[in-house]
Amino acid sequence: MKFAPLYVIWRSAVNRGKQQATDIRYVAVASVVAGYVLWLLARRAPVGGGAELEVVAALLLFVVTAIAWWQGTDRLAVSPAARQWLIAAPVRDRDVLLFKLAALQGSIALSALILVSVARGGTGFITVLHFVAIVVVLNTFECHRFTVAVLRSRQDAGGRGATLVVSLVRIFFVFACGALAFTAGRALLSAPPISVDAASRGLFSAVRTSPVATGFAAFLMFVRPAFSQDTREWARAMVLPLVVLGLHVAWLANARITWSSRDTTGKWRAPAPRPAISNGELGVAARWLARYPATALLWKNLRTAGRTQRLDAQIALIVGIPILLSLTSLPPLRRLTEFACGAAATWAALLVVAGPLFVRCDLRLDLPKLRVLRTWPVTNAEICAAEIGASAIVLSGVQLCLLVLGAVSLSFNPVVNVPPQTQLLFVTTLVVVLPGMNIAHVGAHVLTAVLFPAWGPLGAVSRERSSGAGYFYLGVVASFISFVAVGLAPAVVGATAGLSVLPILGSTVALLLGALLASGVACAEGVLLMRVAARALGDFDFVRD
Amino acid sequence: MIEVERLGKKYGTRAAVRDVSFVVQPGEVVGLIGLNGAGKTTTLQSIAGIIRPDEGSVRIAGVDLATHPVAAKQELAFLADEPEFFEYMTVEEHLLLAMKLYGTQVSTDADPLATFGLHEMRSQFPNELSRGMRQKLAMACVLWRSPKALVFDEPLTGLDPVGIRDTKEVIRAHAARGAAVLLSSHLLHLVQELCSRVIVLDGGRVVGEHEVAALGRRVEEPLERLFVALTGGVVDP
Repeated sequence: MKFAPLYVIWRSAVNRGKQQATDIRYVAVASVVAGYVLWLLARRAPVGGGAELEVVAALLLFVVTAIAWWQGTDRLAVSPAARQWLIAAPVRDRDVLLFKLAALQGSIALSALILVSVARGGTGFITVLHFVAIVVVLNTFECHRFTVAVLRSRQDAGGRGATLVVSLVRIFFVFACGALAFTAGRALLSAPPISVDAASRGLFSAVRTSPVATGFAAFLMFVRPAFSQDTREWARAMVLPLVVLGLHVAWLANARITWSSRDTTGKWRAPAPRPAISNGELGVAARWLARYPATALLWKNLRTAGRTQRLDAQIALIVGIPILLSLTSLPPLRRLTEFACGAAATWAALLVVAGPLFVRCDLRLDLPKLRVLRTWPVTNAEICAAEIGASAIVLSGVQLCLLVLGAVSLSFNPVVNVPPQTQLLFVTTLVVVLPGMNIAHVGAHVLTAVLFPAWGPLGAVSRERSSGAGYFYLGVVASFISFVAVGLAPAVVGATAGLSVLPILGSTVALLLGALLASGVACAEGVLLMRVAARALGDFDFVRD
Repeated sequence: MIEVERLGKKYGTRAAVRDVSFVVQPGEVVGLIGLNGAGKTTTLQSIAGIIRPDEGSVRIAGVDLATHPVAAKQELAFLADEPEFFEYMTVEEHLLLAMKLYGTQVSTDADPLATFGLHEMRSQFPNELSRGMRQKLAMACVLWRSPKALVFDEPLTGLDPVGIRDTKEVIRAHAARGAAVLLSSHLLHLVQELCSRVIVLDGGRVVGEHEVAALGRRVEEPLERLFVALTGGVVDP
């Protein structure tokens, strides 16, 4: 009885493995991924690692821990099946937690394998130790998320002790964030202008050594075993994570859990209640969009995009981080503008290459509801067009905002002397090219989701948790590959056309013509991918897939 | 026996269930009826331990659900209105899981899957089954043992006529051996046929509790008239 929940995990894993092992699509892609990971592991010269990566890892851990305390976590949330089978059954709370933790082990192991192979490579004993360290760190973090969830549920139930603990930890993170931002700002200020290398070196060094960032030291110590150079150092460094993991396990094993309604009713991610909108109150654009079934689908997805927490969090990150860091480097305005421009360009580049991983208000979210969509008077092609269009519009909108921010920052910068006409031309070119590229890129992602619905960020299911870090990395790699693949033809066509008219019509016209043609080709690719996705959607079998 | 005392549950500021109290005696089949949103499912899920009530208490076979949840749930069988299954577990594995969860083995001469017509489908996955067959699988996984209390949320929805007849017989059989049965349904004629007593919920409160035998002999009308009257509808003259 005690291990009955583990039976679910074991049988599900075996059956899922059997099912996917007989499907040539999954076997083919799994082979490619396995080959890639093996290639990473078999590299002769280990790359990566070192102090910078250690700081980045600790920083990521710091940020996700802070988010867990600030937003709460859905770690206690159970699936509808687990709700009916486990919560309603004579199963102790700790066994349900064990079930949930055990269910994560597959993705934690894969994530650890990918992270260790990317960061280090090599198949020596130390690589195995690093793998173990990452598994322990990820498990500890997941246990920490359980702890936060238990405390938050007690807080929701009116527990004053839980409220006090949550408040104190939040205050710690506020001060720690401020200290980190201050340290980072000072480091950036002391670097020479427009020297990314010096700035980043100074930043990493400051974060590691500054007494102001003392609160951050615990996180650095926590990830250290994953970067140890020998066995003895590893053993010493492992003490802290193992002690923390042990404390968490001991506390959780004896914790009395207050399952909240949002955990057991699956409403954790429900958007905040909003006033009902009658047709009469819809805006002109919404009224126009809601006139036809296909555009109504587009309208639905755009509304969804505006109401999901994930998009809110992205906007907060996009806006918040530059503001926070800019404020810490107050005196010279040029610093602020440099930083704002750099941050905008970085985010824009990330969204161009991996945007569809973040913005998913399309068929990837709607695949589970495909039965409903199929009852609508729309063709598969219209469904795909509306679904792809929604994500492409949102992505293009965010990129446009970042472009404007970057351009404005650049125009206030006295060091970077770019003429306004050149800036305008550059921005116009991107404004022309990016929507087309977004259509093609989102189309590739949607097609992948239809072909591999059972898989993580490549498919319909989002894995955003830390235990899914490996999946996310694979998703970014796959997204980069698909971006290069869909961008190749537009780049060749645009460049060829631009270069051929350059001597006759001049650089401005050549650039704009190239951009227009590239965008057109990308749009055509998007339509092609959409049609293939529509075809695949027609063959989509709920039972098999 | 199922004892519910002053049960209360709020979702945000909205009270889904308020001050609900009733007792289902061993061998009794009680129907819980009400309009959509009356609080039936919240009440049943609170009894099953899925939802933690804000107020009141639930006792299953004399065991308090809040203080001894494992012991209380050991004596309870809950069937949800829309049974959910683990995507990658077969029909047979679900039954095995149920046995592991309740720490009991089914006797060799009894095959719950065969009883519910699922014998041929034991190696299939739940998403390969029809809605009615999924309902039967849920019942097979719940009713293979002899719990002291049974809670059914819309047990007859989606079943074919034979399935409805078999389910009614199973419910009667469990009541006959002394189980307390609480079920909710919108099919009033079936409630009247199966239950000895009905509890009417409206706006999260108990607005009526009646012996079915006292309502009259005609199959459907008396309970329907009572239901409409208690829930604020207009009763035809």
